[in-house]
Amino acid sequence: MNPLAEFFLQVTLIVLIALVIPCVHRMIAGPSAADRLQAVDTITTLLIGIALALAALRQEWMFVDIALALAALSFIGTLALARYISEGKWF
Amino acid sequence: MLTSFLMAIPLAVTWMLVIGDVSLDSLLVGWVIGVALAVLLRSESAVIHWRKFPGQVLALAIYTLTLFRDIWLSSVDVAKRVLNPALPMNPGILRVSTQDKTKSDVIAAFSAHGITITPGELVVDFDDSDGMYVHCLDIGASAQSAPGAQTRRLGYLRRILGQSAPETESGA
Amino acid sequence: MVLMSEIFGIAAVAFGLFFSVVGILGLVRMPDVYTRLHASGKVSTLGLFGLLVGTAFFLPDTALKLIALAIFAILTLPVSTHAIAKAAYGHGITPARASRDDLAEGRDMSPSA
Repeated sequence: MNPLAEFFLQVTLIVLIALVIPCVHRMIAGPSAADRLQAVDTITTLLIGIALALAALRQEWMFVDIALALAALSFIGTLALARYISEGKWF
Repeated sequence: MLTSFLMAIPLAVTWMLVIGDVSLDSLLVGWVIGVALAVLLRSESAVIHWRKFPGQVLALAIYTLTLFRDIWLSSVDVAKRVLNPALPMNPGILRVSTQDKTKSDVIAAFSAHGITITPGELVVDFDDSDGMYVHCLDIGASAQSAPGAQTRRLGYLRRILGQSAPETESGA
Repeated sequence: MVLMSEIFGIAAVAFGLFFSVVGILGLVRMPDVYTRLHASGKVSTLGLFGLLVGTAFFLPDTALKLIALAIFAILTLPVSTHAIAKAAYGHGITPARASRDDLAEGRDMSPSA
């Protein structure tokens, strides 16, 4: 790969990882459970982006599969946790 | 039964995309799994009629394009608000009717999906009749635009689901 | 020599990165759960799309999987946004700075729907 593109993807990766920090702050500080759930959901979206950037950087298609699995799991997990928060039971 | 077999085709294509292997084998495997799923989770609200089918696909394509336009507009709108140092907003919760006399769950769900994608609006809750409670970033603008947008969205959704027009349907 | 596809890929990734940064900035600046959901739930969607398109340019073999991921994202991200908003309202969080709240007047808080 072109060195310029490689450098750009490395910067992208660093910025995306740095963006997790405010979400972690929100997850710890957030006054209610819904704030924390939202922070976790946003972190998972960022993780999908990180997996995609890694796939592009390493030229490794396996990370795309990881992103797919992460998307599916985060959707189910967010729904289950949201239901648990609002109704106090799992199902 | 025929509808289930047809509904399995998009599922098979999705399976093929996820597997990442474009071949007749993977399409066939996906189709068999898809038929099993479509028979198990059969729904009365989406019925395929041969004469309407091209129109349904066309309506789905147009609706997808409007969804992409909405995602673009909403992201730019919210991004402008976030980047503005004054953080201009006037939030509130607004009741928007789905305008759907049949009270179909599918239409309510897709209306809520479309609203959540449009600029600065997100569905918080439903009530027992046809109301959706929408949290808006700018309640003045949303109160004006939301009913018209919902009328348009309902027209697309009816055409996608192959239901008849609202005039002939209101008695049913 | 810079390939054309790499230029498009860099442009798309930069686009996605910009909207991701704006989304997280909104997450930091907004006053309550609902407005934060507007920022993160929507702007991050476009950020993810930019990264998806960029990766499709860098790794053309996986374009089909990325299309599947894009369809999945467009279908599910609004659903999880709604689920979080409903959980927040069911948890008793009132919207900050709200000038109007139809839900509080129209309905009692029993979890029926």
